[in-house]
Amino acid sequence: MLGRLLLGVLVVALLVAPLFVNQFANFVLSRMAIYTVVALGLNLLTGYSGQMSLGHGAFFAIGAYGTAIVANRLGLPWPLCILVGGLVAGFAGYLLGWPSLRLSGPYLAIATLALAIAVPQALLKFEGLTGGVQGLKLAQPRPPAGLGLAQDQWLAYICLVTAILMVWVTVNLVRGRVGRAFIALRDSEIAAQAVGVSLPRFKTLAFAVSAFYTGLAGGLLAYLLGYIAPDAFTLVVSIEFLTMVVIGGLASVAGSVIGAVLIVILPLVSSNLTDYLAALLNLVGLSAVGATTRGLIWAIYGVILILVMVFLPGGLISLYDKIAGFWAAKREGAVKRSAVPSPEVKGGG
Amino acid sequence: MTEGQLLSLGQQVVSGLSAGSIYALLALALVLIYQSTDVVNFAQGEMAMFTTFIAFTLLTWYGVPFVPAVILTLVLAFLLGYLVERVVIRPVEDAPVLSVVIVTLGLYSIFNSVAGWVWGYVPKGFPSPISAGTVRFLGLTVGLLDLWILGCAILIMALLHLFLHRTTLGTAMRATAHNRSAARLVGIPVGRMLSLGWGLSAVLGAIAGMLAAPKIFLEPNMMAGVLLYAFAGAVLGGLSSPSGAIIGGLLVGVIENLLGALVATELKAGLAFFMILAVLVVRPQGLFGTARRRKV
Repeated sequence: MLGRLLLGVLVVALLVAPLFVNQFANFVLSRMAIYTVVALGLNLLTGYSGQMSLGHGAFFAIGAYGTAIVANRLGLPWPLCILVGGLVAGFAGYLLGWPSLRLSGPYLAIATLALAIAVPQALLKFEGLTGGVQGLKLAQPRPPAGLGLAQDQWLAYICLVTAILMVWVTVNLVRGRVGRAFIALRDSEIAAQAVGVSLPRFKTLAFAVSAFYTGLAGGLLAYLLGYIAPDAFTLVVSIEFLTMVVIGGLASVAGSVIGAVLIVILPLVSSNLTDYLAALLNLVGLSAVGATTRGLIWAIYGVILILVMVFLPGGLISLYDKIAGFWAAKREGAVKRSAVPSPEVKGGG
Repeated sequence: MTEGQLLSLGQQVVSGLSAGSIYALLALALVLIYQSTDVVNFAQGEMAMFTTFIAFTLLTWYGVPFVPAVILTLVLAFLLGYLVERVVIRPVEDAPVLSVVIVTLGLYSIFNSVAGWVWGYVPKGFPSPISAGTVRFLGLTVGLLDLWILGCAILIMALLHLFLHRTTLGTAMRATAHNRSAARLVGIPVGRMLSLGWGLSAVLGAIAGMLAAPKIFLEPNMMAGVLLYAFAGAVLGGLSSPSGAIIGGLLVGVIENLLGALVATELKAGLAFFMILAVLVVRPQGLFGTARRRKV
């Protein structure tokens, strides 16, 4: 009950926030929403269905380019363009799902890694469609007249509403038949098949759905930036995606949201951190030759990734579960003590 | 096919073998680690790049002569690999594959960004003991550098083979990779062997990096492409077979060069992707690997 109330307050707060914050904060909010959609999608595949992907940057790119190309060539309204971007990415995911049926563990990681590297190169190659190095521009959706919203506020609303919608869809998806099939296949392929869960059907479905989410997010990004280029979709993007899902918590919707929020905030916070680090190193005479300390943010990501894997393999959300579990156990213990007559009392009577 | 076409094809094969020998070295490093610890080390290329930068620093900043600089680099590479296993990999030894992959991705980020921070992103030339001349051989014009790379790679692989098959330590390492609990029962210090394997792989990577650097220039992202091809080679040959990794790496180098000459150079990464996918789908254990049976 309390949880529902808090959730409601959070959703309302998110929905009024764009009205009161500045342009930069709206941009940050929009990016958090976009990353949330990706995290939900990747978590469906990796967390719920147990298939690793280092290639989601590729689906992100396919969604973004699909949206931009449809928007520029056919001039469809923006929701349709984003939907087309998502569907194209979803289809690509479905196709990749088939060979992936035979792969698992490190092999799947290698195959998806190769996809992440291949797609940006293909974007450069097919210049006619993608604009090559220059990338593509597209017109941002205009805020509807009469609402009195600025461009950045309207974009933030588009992203936030999509993210909230996808959270709702995901919660229902993982509770339903499909989600249970994903989890069953993850936990034991043989046992799941024995009770009639079709392995090829649900594994390719997991890839398709996951890629669809990521493609939607790509489409949102294309509109948010109004411009896309291949260098926005390098391998590091795919690693970033996996990072947020793992840090937040695998197979958890709340974990996905937490991971996405963190991965957007982290660069903002740690650029200060790296400046301090550089100053500290300068003090001991280890001045670096490299141009910028901002590059060190990836080292910080790396350290966080390793620390989380070693000390908190369930992600940050497991921390919450642990605390909640601790309290529940304590309360249960108290109830038990009061409900069951203690032996001393019995013996005394 | 005219004689001229045949010759240019031969030329492509030779330079393909040179590139392929670098892939083969890195693939071998990947396989050594995969065999003993079941870990695919996504940071292998970045560790190679990092140690190559160390060699560069010794050579150009501190003016150490070539041979001592290389030896010192190899020693440092060994320590780096050893420490990485001991400090970072050991704690997640029994964790699911995903956790281990993520840890190596973390290492990837760390090495890549620290190298960029210390040495910058401007590509640097790497000194080579061999000048950029050519020799004529059976009508082919062969780059001296290519020959040098190929020669060094073959020498190193031969040495590694001797080490693994003719020394007690090498046999102990193979025993550990083959059956860990049995190795422990006959008194092999399994943990140390695993660290040793990582150290050895880092040395192989350092050699691959130093051989590749004069050709592809030194910068933090230099090994990304090489690692992808090394993966393709290792998967092609089978992740469980060292000789398969060598043959796979060489094959990938030759195929890459031939297709680059015949079709298009821009789609090289796409090519590696399709090669990996095709091999995995048709023969998931690779050409020379052995399939593992899954137990219920």
